[in-house]
Parts: sequence; structure tokens; C-alpha cells
Amino acid sequence: MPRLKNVFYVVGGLGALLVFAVPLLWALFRSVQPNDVIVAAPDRATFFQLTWDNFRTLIEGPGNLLRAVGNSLVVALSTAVLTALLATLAGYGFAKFRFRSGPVLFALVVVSMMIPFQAILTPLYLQLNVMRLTDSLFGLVLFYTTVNLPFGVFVMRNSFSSVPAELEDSAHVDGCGTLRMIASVLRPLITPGAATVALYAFLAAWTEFLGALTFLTKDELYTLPVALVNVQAGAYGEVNFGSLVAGSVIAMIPCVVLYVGLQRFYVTGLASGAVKG
Amino acid sequence: MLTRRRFLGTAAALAGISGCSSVLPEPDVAAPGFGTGATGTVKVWCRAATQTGLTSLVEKFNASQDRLRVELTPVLDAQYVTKLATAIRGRGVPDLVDIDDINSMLFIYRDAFTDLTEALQALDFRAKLSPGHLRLATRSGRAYGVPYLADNSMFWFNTELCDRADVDPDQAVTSYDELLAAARRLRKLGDDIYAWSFPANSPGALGFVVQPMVWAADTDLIRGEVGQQEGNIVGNDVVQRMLELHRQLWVDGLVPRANFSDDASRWGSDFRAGAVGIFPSNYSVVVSGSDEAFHAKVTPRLLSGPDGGSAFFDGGDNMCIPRGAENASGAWEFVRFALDLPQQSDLPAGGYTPVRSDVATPEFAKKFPLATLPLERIEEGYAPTTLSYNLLYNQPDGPWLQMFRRAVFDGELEAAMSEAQESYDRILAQGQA
Repeated sequence: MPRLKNVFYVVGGLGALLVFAVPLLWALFRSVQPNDVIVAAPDRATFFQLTWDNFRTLIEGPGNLLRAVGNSLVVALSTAVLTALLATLAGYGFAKFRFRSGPVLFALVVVSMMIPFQAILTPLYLQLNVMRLTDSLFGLVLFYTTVNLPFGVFVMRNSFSSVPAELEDSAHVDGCGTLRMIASVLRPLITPGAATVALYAFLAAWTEFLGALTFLTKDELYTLPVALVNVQAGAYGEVNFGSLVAGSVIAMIPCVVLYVGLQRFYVTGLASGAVKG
Repeated sequence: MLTRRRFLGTAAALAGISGCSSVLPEPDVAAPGFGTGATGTVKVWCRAATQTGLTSLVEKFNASQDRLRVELTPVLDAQYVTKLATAIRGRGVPDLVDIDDINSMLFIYRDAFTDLTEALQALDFRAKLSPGHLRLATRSGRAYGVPYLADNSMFWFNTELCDRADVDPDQAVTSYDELLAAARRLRKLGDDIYAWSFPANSPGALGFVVQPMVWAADTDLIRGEVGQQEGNIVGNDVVQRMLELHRQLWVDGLVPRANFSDDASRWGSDFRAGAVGIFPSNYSVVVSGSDEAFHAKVTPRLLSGPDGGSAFFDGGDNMCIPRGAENASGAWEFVRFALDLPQQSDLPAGGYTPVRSDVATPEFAKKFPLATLPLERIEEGYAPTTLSYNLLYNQPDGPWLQMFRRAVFDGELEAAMSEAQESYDRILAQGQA
């Protein structure tokens, strides 16, 4: 019986592995094929003619994708750090301090998740413009942080709520202040939540397209999604699949690295947000 | 007495009024020295689709002098109008926009662009500029933009297949019947050789290549001047015959089945692979991404009407100076550079054709033999002047694509046309309101 179970486990596991790995490997393989081979029916003569041309065009061509990767890294990392920091502080406040407007404020924060920013894009643009934050990566970081904060605050509040009050009480008795409490006593307990928030904010900022497209009008500030679409799209909807797939491969590298690195925190953090809220 | 409420009310009203005036101050193009000796930076927007050509143009311009520096920003085609409108609303416009000529009209009618009539008159090659492009930049006799590059639709014949099928391209374009007869002969060459190919699920590309087959007979799907436009579909014999031709191509299996879902994302791959005889498309799709040997095998003809006649879509870019531009003088200097013969003659290298008929010299024809036809017949180029082009022709749910698909694939020709007539009338009326 246990043998049969093992067989199921291995077969199921391999099946799942294929489902997740094949698209990635396929993308990697396609990224080193020329565009004409990608769009043509498979032909034995040309199918295995591999070339770095797609990557070369992206990096050396007018799209200047490496600069866009740099911009995206700056924006996404700053957004992740800022969101995690603010969400941690706000989450602690909402979870641990009792004040009269607390529940209402928290409800307001959570409700704001329900308004897609696309619906208020024009007012947002005008607002940012007045504050001279358009055409600025800093403005974009502020914007992304704002959009990601509600979810972050929600997760961090739940992380803090799940910490037993006794722990804090004993720390208080030993003379520990609020900030010290968060930094030293509670840190190990809330790291999964903070990692989730950071990862979530990073991925959101890394892949966000519409905001970046609207708020930036300088070529040298374009983030990766905008630059990538610019490079592969033609006037009548033609798609340069070679550039597209090579760009996607470049774009997924940081995501895969971060996800694998923070995976265990991420899963625990999500669970603490969902179940213990 | 000034109460707090009254004060706030007045302040809000004032803010509202200043916020509403989206018409920005017009640069003074008549000022002495306009367009010469400017300094500083010039912010230029271009379409992502024409980014490659513009990038090398800007590099050349920046290297040619050291007073002015052009900063180029490519903007995604599908978002260009929205983004420019938002920028105008935010009063932070670029100095020059290189904009899809079909969209320039939208901004001209909302007083967003600078009147360039006099500056244009001063150019000694004014008469050589593409009249189709200029029409799209002209309102009440005043010009608000300058053509920069052309993107024209034509028939492309694969001469190798034509020779084998005994098809003469010149004969084929004399009428729809001849085209159909040629298509039938081409299809007989083999199971994997198709006569024709059209992107039937891409509204924009389809409008680009099929509409001129109607214009060739001196009619259009829209009639009237901007302000009183309506659809011209029901009772339009030419539109009906155009749809019947495509229906026949589909029913007889003369086009690949894949045309049904062809969204132009792989546009031309079948033609470039040598599997299609007649291919309505543009220079860029045919020539970019194929080799010299293939170029030698193709020959272009203008798109033709039911009983002859010819036309092509005058697509491409117009360059316009938005009102509120800070460096209009520098922008005009860049425009003049872009229109200069060396730069214009170089356009085909980037996949586009020039907008000056005097570029078509023997040397040019030798270097880019496939790019001369629209220049020689520049007068026959056309594109409809309307404020509703995007809604009619570029939306997947627009009436143009709906009509074409219903007529060609479902065979409901009359119903498709009357449905389209209604939608055209409604959209045009709304666009002019």
C-alpha cells in the first residue's frame, strides 16, 4: 500500500513539475530563436538554429532595455522597502493601540483596496503633476507604495495581532520601548508578514504598466514593462515575438530569484494574513 | 460679507474655470528668427512603432550641431492619444509630437496644435509634400502639422508564384473580377500555396489594406465634412462589391483558414515564407524581416477598385507642435532637418517611405526599388478626415470589423451593411457633438 502511495506521489509530483517547468523552459528555448522561426510552422531545418540576436537587439537597440531594468529595480526595491516599513509601523499601531477612530480608520484603509487605481488615473496624474512628481522615479515609488499599502497594512496588522500579548507585557516589564519592541522582540515573529508585504510590493511594482506609462514621459526613466511593450509592438498590432519572449525572460529573473529566496516566509505570511485575521 | 462658505465657493469656482481652460498659449511662429538659431532642449514624442527610425534621426540631428539637443520619448501607439491628452490637460506638453497622421485631426479640432501655415509656406519644397498627409493636418485651410513619414498600403505580388500561375499583376489590378481570376489561378499551384491573405481579426490592419479598394472608385464609407458626417454604406455599390470579393476569396478557400483569427500579430509571415501570391500590406511588413532574395521576388501595385482605379492608404506620421510648447523654434528646426532630402531618402532603411515626391530620384529608385511607387503616384494617397477614426476602424468592437466579419464569414451581407450604416451614423454623430 505505501508503495502505491509513493508511486502516486512521484507521478503526481512529476506532473506538477512539468506543468510549472515546461512553460518556463519553453520561454527560455524560444528566446534564443529568431522571430521568423517563432512565427513560422515548426521546420526541422530551422527549429534548432539558436541565436542571441533577440537579447542583443534588446540590449543594444533603441529600446535600451538594460537601462529600463535598472529603473525597474530601483523603483521596485524602493517600493518594497518603503511599503514594508510603513506597513509594519501602521500594522503595529492598528493591532496594538486602542484609540476611538481605530476601527473606522482601519476599515477605510481596507476599503481603499476596492478602488482600482485605473479608475482614478487622470486625477492621480494631475495631482502628481502639481506636486512635480511626474517624470520622476521617486514619484512612481510614492505612487506604488500608496497603492500597495492597504494590503500591506492589512497583513501586518494581522501579523501583530497573532503575537501573544504576554510577550509584550514581559518586554514592557523589562523596560522595553515601542520601537525597540518591534525591532528586537517581535521581529522574528513578524518577519514572514513583512517578507510577504515586501515581495508582494516588489512584484506589483516590477510588473506594473499603466501607471508607469502615464506618469513617465522620459525615455530614460521608462521602467521595464513600458520599454518592453514599446520594443515589441508594431503599428498594426504586429508583435515581435523574439523581442517579447527574450524580454520576458529578462523580466522574470529577479522575480524567480526573489520568490525562491523568500518562499518560506511568503507562504507563512500569507497564511497568517488569511486565517488569523 | 465674506463668509467661509462663500470664500470656499468662490475659490472652487475659480479653480474650476482655470482648470477647464485646456487651450494652451500658441507659440509665436511669425516671430523673427523662428526656427533658426534656437538653443536648449527639444522634447519630442514619437510612436513606438516608428521608434527605430526616429532614434537614428535624432542621433544624426544632435550630432549635426551643438546648440540644440533633442530628447526623444517613444510612446506606445495604442496609448498615444490618451497620453497626449493627459499631458495637455496637465499643461506639460512636449515641444513636438510625431503622431499617427490619422490621429492628428483629433487634436487640431480641439485647438491643441500650433498653426504652421506660414512656416510651411516658407519651405521651398512645400508643393512636393504628400497631399494626403497634409489634408489630415488641415482645418479650414490652415495647416497644423507637417508630414514626416509615410506608411502606405499596397498590393504585393509574389512574382515567382505569379509567373508559375500565369498571372500578370498589371492585368490583375484592372478590376475585382480580374483579381479573383488571378487568385483562382494562384491557388491551383498547390495545397500549401494560397492566393491571398488578409488579417480579418485586426480592425486597424484590415482598415489599412481594404478601405483603399473602396476609395479607388472615388467613394468612401463616410460622407460629408467634419461636423455633418454620416455613414455611406447602405446603397454603396462599391462597398458591397468589396465585401463580395472578400466573401468569395473566403468561400472558395483562396485564403488561409488562419485569416479568420489573424490579428496581425504575425502579419506577413505567410507571405514572407513564399506561400501567398497577392498580399495587401505595407512596405515595412514585406521588406523588414525578409532577405534580398525575397525582395527581388516581389513587386508592388496600388490597391485597386471594382472597375479599375487605384488608391493607397496615406498612413504614417505628421509632426505637430503642441500649443504650450516651450521650445517651438527648436522644434521647427528639427522638423526642417527631418524633412531634408538626405533624411527623407534614408527612411526606407527603417521600413517607411518618404513624404516628399522629389525624393524619387534614379539613385533612390536603385537603392530602394520597392519604395518608389507611392512617391511616383503621391496624389492618389488618401485617408478619411474624421474625428471618429479610432472608434470606427481601430476598435475590435467597432462597426468596420463587425461588418467585414459578418459579411465575409457569415455571408449576411445586407444585414451586415445596414447594421454598419446605423453604427457609423451613431458614432459619427456622437464624435461631432
